[in-house]
Amino acid sequence: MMNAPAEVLIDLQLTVNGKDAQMRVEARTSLCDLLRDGLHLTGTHAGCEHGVCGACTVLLDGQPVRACITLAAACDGLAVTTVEGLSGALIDRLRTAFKAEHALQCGYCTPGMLVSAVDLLERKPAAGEDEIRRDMSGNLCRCTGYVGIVRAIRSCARG
Amino acid sequence: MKPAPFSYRRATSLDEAVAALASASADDDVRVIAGGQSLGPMLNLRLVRPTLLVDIHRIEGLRTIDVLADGGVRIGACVTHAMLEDLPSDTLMPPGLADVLRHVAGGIAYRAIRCRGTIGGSLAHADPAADWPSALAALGATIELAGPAGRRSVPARTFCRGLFDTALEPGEILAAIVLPGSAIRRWGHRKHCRKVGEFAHALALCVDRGGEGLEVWLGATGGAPVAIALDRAVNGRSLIDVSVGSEAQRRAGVRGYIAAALSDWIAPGDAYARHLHAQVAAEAVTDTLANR
Repeated sequence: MMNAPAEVLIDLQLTVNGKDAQMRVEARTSLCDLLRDGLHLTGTHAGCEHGVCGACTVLLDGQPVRACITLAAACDGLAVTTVEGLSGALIDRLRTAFKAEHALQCGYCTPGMLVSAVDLLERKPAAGEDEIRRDMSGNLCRCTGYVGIVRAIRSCARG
Repeated sequence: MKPAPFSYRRATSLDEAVAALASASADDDVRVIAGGQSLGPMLNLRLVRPTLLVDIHRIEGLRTIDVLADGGVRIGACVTHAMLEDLPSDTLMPPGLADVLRHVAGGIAYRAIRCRGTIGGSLAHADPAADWPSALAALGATIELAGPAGRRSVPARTFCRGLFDTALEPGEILAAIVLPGSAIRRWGHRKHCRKVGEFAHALALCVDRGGEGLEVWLGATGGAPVAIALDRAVNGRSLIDVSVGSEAQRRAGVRGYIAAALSDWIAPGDAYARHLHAQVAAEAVTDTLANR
C-alpha cells in the first residue's frame, strides 16, 4: 500500500446486506450512488445529497452514516446494511408500527427513518418521546408532520 | 450534486499521508479527508474541486484515545464524535473531562454525522459554527500537527485563526488533540440552534480547572473563537460581586457582566446576534457557578 498511486478508478470489496460485492467505481462515487446505480439497491434514497435530510442513511459496520456524503472508496472492506437488508424482530415491529401509525405518506424518507430508528432503539431501547424526537431530528419528512413517526417508534420502545 | 472527478488515495499511516501531500505536484489541489462530513457536502455542491483526496480516516494510530502518564488525554485526530459521546463510565480520564467531552460530542449534528465525523476533521476545517474550536480552547487543549519538517504543537486557543483559517501550514496534517490532566471542577455548556442538530448560532463553554484564570469561550462567532476572562472586574464589579441574590438576580447579574465584557467586541451580525452570544455565554457561566 505504501506509495500506491492515487487512482481515479478504485477497486472495492464490500459486504452489502451479507453478500460480498466487488466493484470498480470512480473515486468520486458516493456510497449512495454505488448502492443505487451499482447494486440496484434503490431502497436507499438520495434526497438532499449534502447530509441534511437523512433519506440515504445506511448502517456501515453497524453504525448509521449518510451514504450521500460517504465516499464509496472509503468503505472498502466494510459491511453495509441498507433498508433492504434489515432483519429481525425490531425491524419487523417497526414496519408494522409505521403502517399502523400512518408514519409514511410518500415514503421517500422512510428508508432513512427505519435505519435511524433501528439504530436509536438498539442504543436506547427505552427511549421516550423527547429522546426520539431529538435523536430522529436528522431525518426530515415533508409529509407527515412527524407525529405518526414518533408514535410508531415509541410503540416499539420498552416502557 | 455530484463531485467533480478527483483521484483518491487511502493512507495507512500518518507518515504515508504526509508523504502523499509532499509528493503531490504543483498542479494538484490536494485535500485531506477524514470523516468527510463537512468536505463531503462541499464536494457534492462543488464548492471545492480538489484533484486529489488523501484519506486518513482509517489510520489506526489516529483512532485511539490514550490516557497519558501525567493524567492528560491524547485523542487521535480521526476519533469520531460518536466515540467521544460513547466514552465508557469507567474511563481513566481526569474527573469531569469525560463528562464535558460526552456532552459536547453528543450535541454535534445527528448521530449519523457523529458516527463518521471526526474531532480532528472538525477542528482542521475550522467552521466557526462548529463545536470543537471553542470547546477545545476552553479545555486548554494542545493540537499536534505532523508535516514534512516533523511534528509540532500549537495551543488550541490560537489554532483557529478565523473563518476556515487555522495554524496548519501547507503539507501539514492535524494528528492529535492533547488535553491537560487537571481535574475539571465545574463547567457549563450552552448552544443555541433554531433546529436540533443544525449549526449553532451561538455556543459557549466555561470550564473551571482550578488555579488558572477562569474563562468562557464563545463559538459560532463567524470567525475565531472568542474568550472572555472571568477573573477581572468589569465596570468595577467582579463576577463574584454580580452573582448574588436569587437565581434570577444572579442570572441577570452575570448577563450584565458578560454583556459589559463584550462591549468592545465587534460582534458579527446585528444587535440580535450580539444579544444571543451574550445570553448564551452568560448561561454557560451561570451553570458553571451553580455546579459546585
